[in-house]
Amino acid sequence: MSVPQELKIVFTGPMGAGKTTAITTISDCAPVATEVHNNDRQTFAKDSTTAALDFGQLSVAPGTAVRLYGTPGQERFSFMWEILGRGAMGVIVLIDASSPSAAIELKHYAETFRRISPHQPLVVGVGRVALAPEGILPALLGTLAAIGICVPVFSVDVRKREDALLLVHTVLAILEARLPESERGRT
Amino acid sequence: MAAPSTLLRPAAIAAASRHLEDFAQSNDGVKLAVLTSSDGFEIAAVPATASSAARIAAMSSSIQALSQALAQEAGLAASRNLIIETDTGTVLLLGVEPSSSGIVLAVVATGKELLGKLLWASSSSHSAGRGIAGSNISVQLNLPTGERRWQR
Repeated sequence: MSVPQELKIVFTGPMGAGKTTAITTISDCAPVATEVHNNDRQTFAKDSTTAALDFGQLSVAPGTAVRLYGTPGQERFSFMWEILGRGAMGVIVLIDASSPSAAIELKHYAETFRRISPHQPLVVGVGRVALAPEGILPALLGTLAAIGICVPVFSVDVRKREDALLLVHTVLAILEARLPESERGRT
Repeated sequence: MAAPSTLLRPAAIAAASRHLEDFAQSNDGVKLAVLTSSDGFEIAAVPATASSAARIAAMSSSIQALSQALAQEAGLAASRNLIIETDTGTVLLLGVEPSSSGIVLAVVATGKELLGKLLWASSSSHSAGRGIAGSNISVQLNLPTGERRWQR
């Protein structure tokens, strides 16, 4: 592999966007989860939420593993964003398109992780697009453009392996494209 | 961040606050005590005005959740308590019974001799259940209190 042998990619985004699901979907081994009882049903009506991190591993080529980390979504756990973002080779922001505050959330996470991991690829996965108002994807692209962030944005269902993998492979492709041409394509 | 209003009834929170105050008063070394929900909300704290209480609450639940994952990975039973020792003080993260509640009492203390005492207090914790009964997560909070500890 032409990029480093051990890669760290961080999944982030608001509560309920699918970070734990994405890692569970693609991890080769049973992921480490830190799910706890969710008391805040107003923000997102689900039984459990991540309190510290998710961790999974994905082999992308012989001898090359991607370590997948998921952050907690809630602002009160933002100290974990800093810890997990350190040393990340790429960041995947997951957004719930059906959330009324999807654009605000996208702006917040994109800006925050641009600061934490300034030089690393950022890729956005937008979920539940079918439940969102029409034109949500162009709107979200506009949100990113307005803050000067030009990155790939995909409509995804992270319960599907190929969708979750698409996000990871896009990060890897961006990393690879940064290499001198002679060093590419050895995976 | 304050807990959602649905987490515990005001009376339960008031009772928990009183127990924390008793606990802190009977122990000079306790700088801060925060009762934290499983998902990192501050339920009660002494001193009530501590600016770092909300952040310590969130961090406590993260570390508790992580130690839970580690204990599980190691094939052990549910993680109960955690001790963080530093040169200038100690942080205890004590799981509140029943452990299924996920509620954690974080105690920040100074001074070296405190560790054993605090741990002893936690193991001989005093039931504050009556004050908390009726909370909608039906938790009986067992908070360490000072009295029994100091009488021995």
